[in-house]
Amino acid sequence: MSRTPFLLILPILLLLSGPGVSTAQDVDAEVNAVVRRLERGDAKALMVSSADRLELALFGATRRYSRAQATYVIEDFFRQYPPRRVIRVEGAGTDQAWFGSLSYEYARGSRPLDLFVRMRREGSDWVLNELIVREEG
Amino acid sequence: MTRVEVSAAWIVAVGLLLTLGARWVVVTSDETTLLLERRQMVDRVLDRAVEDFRDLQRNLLETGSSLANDPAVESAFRSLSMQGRRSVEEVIQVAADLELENLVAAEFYEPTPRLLAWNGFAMPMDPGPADERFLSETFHELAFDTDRRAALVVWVPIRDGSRVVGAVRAMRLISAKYPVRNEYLRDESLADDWRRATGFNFVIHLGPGEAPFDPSIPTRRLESPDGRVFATVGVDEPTLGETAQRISERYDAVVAFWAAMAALLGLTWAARYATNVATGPIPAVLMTVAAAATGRAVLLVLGVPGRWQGGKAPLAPLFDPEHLASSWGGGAFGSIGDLMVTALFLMYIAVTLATRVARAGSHPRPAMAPGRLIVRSGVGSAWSAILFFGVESVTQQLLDDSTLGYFERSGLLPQRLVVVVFASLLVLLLTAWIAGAASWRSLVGDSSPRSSGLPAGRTVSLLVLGATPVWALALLVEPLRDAGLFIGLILFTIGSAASGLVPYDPFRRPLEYLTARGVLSAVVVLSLILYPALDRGLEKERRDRMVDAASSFSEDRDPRVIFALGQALAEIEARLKPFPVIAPGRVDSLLESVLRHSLVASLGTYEVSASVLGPDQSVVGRSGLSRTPAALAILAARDLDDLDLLTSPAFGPSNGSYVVEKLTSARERDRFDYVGLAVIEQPGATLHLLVRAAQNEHLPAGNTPFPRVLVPAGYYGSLYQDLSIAEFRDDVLVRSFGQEFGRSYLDREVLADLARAGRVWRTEVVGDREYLTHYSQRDDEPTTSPVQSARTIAVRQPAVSLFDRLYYLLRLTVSGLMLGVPIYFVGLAGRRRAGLLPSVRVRFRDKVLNAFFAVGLIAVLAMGALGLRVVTGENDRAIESWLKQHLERVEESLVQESGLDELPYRVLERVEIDSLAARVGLDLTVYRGFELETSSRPQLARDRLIPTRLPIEAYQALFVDGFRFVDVEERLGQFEYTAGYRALTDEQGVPRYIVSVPTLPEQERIEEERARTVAYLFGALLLLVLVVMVTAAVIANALSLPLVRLRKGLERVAEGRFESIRPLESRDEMGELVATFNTMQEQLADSRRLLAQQERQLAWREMARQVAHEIKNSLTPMKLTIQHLRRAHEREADGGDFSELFERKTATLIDQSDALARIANEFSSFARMPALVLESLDLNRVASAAVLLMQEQTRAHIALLLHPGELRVEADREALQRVFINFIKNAVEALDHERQGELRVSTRAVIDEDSGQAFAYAEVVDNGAGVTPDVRDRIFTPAFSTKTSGTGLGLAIARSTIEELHGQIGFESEVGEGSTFWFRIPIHAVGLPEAGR
Repeated sequence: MSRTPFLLILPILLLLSGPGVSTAQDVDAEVNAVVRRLERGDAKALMVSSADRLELALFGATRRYSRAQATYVIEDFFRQYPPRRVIRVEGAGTDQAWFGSLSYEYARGSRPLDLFVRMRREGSDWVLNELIVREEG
Repeated sequence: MTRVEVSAAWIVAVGLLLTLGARWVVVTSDETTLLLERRQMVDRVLDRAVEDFRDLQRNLLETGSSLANDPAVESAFRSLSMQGRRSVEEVIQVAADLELENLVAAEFYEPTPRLLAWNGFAMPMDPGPADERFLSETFHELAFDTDRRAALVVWVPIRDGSRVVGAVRAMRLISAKYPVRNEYLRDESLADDWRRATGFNFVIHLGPGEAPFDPSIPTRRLESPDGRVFATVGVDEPTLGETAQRISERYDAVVAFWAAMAALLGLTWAARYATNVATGPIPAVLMTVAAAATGRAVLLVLGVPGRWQGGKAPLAPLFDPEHLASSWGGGAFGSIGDLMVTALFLMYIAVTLATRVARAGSHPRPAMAPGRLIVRSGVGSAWSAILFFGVESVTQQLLDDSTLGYFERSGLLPQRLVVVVFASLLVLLLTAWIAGAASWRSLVGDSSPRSSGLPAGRTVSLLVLGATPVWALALLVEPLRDAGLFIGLILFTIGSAASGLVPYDPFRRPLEYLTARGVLSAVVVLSLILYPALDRGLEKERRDRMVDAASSFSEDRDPRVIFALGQALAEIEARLKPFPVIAPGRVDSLLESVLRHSLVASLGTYEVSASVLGPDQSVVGRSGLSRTPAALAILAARDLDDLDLLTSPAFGPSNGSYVVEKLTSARERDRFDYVGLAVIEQPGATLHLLVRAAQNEHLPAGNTPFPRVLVPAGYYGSLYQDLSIAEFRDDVLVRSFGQEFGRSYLDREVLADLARAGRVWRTEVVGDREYLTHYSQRDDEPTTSPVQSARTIAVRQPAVSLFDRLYYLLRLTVSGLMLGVPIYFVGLAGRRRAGLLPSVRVRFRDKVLNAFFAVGLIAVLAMGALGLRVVTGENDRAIESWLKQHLERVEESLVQESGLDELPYRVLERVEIDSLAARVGLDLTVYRGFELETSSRPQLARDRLIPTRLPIEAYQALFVDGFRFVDVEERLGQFEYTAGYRALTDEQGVPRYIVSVPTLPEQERIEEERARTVAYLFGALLLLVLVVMVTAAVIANALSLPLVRLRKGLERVAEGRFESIRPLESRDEMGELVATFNTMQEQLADSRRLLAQQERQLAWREMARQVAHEIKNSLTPMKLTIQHLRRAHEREADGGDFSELFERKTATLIDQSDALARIANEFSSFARMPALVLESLDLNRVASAAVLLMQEQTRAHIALLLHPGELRVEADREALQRVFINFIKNAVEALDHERQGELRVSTRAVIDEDSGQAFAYAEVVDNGAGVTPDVRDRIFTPAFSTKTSGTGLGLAIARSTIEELHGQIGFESEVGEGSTFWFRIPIHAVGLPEAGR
């Protein structure tokens, strides 16, 4: 049997194979993008793909910040803890949300910080919804 | 530029260049230099740490010494050594009365050493008593409480003369680790303090041993004063690149300083250039605005002053974006500090604009055509709306970009940062108000009723008519459908328009507006206008949060929980696997340790537990973060069922992996747990590890809620803790959080609305409380059911009541006053300095108003203070009663358990504290003596979150004073709460055990109740303040209005005008007084008419006499001359020189004829003055010309003091000059030749206080003989003269001229001192001051 018809149908099958596959790929790419932006210390880029309101907990209580305020807060965080390297550790996700941890190594510091990132799906996009920073523990 | 400014410019330029040069040298320096710099940098911060540690010990020593040498302490210990027990009470009293700093504690010991009294936290004993210096000298120690806390200690002996009678142990906490960190609880760490202060990462090893640091880390020893090593501190060395960056940052801060100074100097010069050089008001304003905007932009680019405020700087919070940061305006609102600076810059621009517009357009315009007035009013109204919405938008955006608790019900005074934000917003609103007023002045200006000649009512009607289309359009704008905002806009527009239409008084300085009433009124009015915008922004934030909470609640599977459980499973598995055999007790503690320190601990809306089950499903270990053992038991009961399910082929994890699933209840599909399973294969056995996160709504009643103080930072769901959330499926409640959903099904109206819109906001009344509820339908859940079921999420929270709003408004007003009060005092000092205080004249209305305000404010303050006291007292009583009842319930419970003749304390010794706590539904702590015996929350005790020693106040009350119950205010970190203590006494009545119940779980509810009562109290007080203010204004007006009218009437009488005043529609004495006055006026007017008639007759007679006299005066010499000529002519025949005489005499005759003609002319000109030829002219120029003319004719110097700008009037130049010449001529003639003559001509603009009309005022002042009282009444009378020459008509003509110009003329004089002759005529325009005049 010729494989040609199958190859023709394959892309359609892939498209129809449900959101699970593409979702996993999308969120994976978006998380990697977040990791890169964190590593660059680029708060503005980080906020490009964030929700309108962001939940942030930087060594303290969680607060809801507007995107504009969160940009300043994260810029300030980058100033105090200039990133050296950010490593994606692990994560778990569903069709609508993803949660995972990162290791944040920073200049002037000997121990990395624990970062927890939560992504949420808004329409067809994945947006950064929550960022928690804790001392390694 | 002044010399000072030139010097400043040089300093700035040199400073900038030097700093840039130094920066360049350091930044481009080689590696060796950078290494040296780094070493010095690290040395400096380590030295600082060492010095700080020394200071701590020094301060502690001072505290200990002052306590040991305190006369009360010495006396108590002296008595103790002589009298025994009774004096222990004295020591306890002394300790209880101590007020110690935060983190400091003190203990008092007998020499044995036995602890007698204490104040503050407790620490285990240090090696101090074993030290040979104990009781002989002062020395330092370190105290440790496991690895959780450490404190510096100083032992100081207490002496009675040379005899040692005791010792003080003073402690200062230097390290404390809490299991949770949040807004209340924060670890105490010197390393953190130093990191915040220096930006370097410190590590500290406490104790004398070798510090386990990386050997490459630079370290210092922290020693006691006697040289013992107490700790080792190390600091992470920055890399060379970071070193260079730190250095350049340091220089950049200095460069920014010089650059900012340069920008401010530039702004100053630009503003002055705009004033002096710009050729018109518009270029001047544009230049000023451009300069100010550039100055602000430069500061923004430089990041000034925020860049200087880091770490521990006092103003650092102002520039912390965590509180407020908006991207609006390119960083102009990037922090609270930036908001302040921007507001001040905008205020500067607005004030400049308003001042220039006022000066440029203050001349009366011709009456404006109604159509034009309408159009201009429309434009003004639209501009006001734009300004108002500008401020409203900024307010909304700033609230959106802020995390401050603007309207927390925490007391009368808001948080300091909130005060700064509110005050800055009020300044912004004031700025918009001033800009609006300027535009109204520019558009409508002095076409105000008074100056345009239009009746007030008609003008106002036209203004309203002009504004109507704008309002109509504005109502189409969505925000304006908010009634509060619309009222705010109306108030703003009317206020700014009214301010713009008030006639400009160039001589009224800004200081004069800063009266107490002016500042208070401005703050109240601005607060009233701003509040709706704030309210709207906060309402939006409330609603957004409720919508977010609904979304969060309705999520199907929560990846955070799945992730956290997976992490916990992996951690536990990794720690269990290496140990094939572990004692069960150790498994429990291992499980608890992992759970407590992993992410699952932050899953706030879940109860988390972990179980390890053996091969036969027996429990190997179990632990949880559940609040009570009972709750844990309920969760554990489900383990076996779930284990069966998860090990089934559908889910089962393969060896070495794990699975986490969301398991729903068989009967209730909306109730679920997340359960994770890991299979651990060990030699000879397979263990199953289950970790569960259960929704804590399943827990039975009696489980005490988790207090917020113990909620860790980043706690999941903590953002929505104050909300109640419920899920309804097919209209039936299936699960809920919070207490506010009492009904088990959805209301029909809600259902109907949901069917229409999908989401609904409703304000509902449940019981006696009003709630705001958001209902939203969810259709995002896949369902396999053939019948689609409707899923509704409802979020509810208490609605904001009217009293809440009044309270919030009061807080906004109080914030405004906190800005207004200093401004008032600055104004007060300025007015004193300018000689405006004490006032020359105080209006009666002001006095009445001030008196009412004072009485009202005192009453309100007294009521507020009293009310607060009552509320606080009631609250304390309620807490006391709550604690008392609960502790009685504990005792009753013990009594019910007791046997015959068994006292409750004996029952307590045999029952489990957990079961007792579960029975009464409370957290219980038991003390034996003053030491902690047991607690129903042992972990909290281990974590030192429960005091391990009785507070001294409780000890004193229960053990010394013999009370059975006492409540004590305590503090956990920054969280304040109350704990109740009840003594369980033995057969002798001695307390054997103390049972304690804290209000921790209830504290938030208690605080909320208290805050609500306080809010209502202060809301009502604000209402009272407003009522007082309005009443005061009405009464003051009512009282002063007749008096003002009478005063005006009397002034008119003084001016010779006998007009009636407007009658007062009042039946009281005031009304009668006005009526009587009017009757008197009519009578006076009649008399005046009669008198005038007589005066005219007299005047004519006088004139006839004078004319006759003057003619006679001329005729007599003429007659004599003619007779002389005749005689001479006769003598000519005798040879006389007649021709020469004829020439001389005929010349005299001609002179006399001229004199006669002149007299005739002057009388003629007085009798019928020629019509004045009016033209617009500058009074200053006329005065100058007259002075120039007269200066030629007198040797006395005539000083000229002119108004700095033009004083444009409509007048006849010649006539006006004649008036000046007449005044000057009289003054010159009045000068006393015996002394130095002084003569001054001056002009200025004045405002008539009553009519508000602007006048050009001129005066001629001399220090001559003055006018004697007997002639003062007749000085302006025709043909009156004190001089031997002249007709006496000069001043009469002057009066006639001035009156024809609608002005007034007058004089003041003192015999021997001099006179001032003045006149004033209506002003046409006041020009800008010209440079150099």
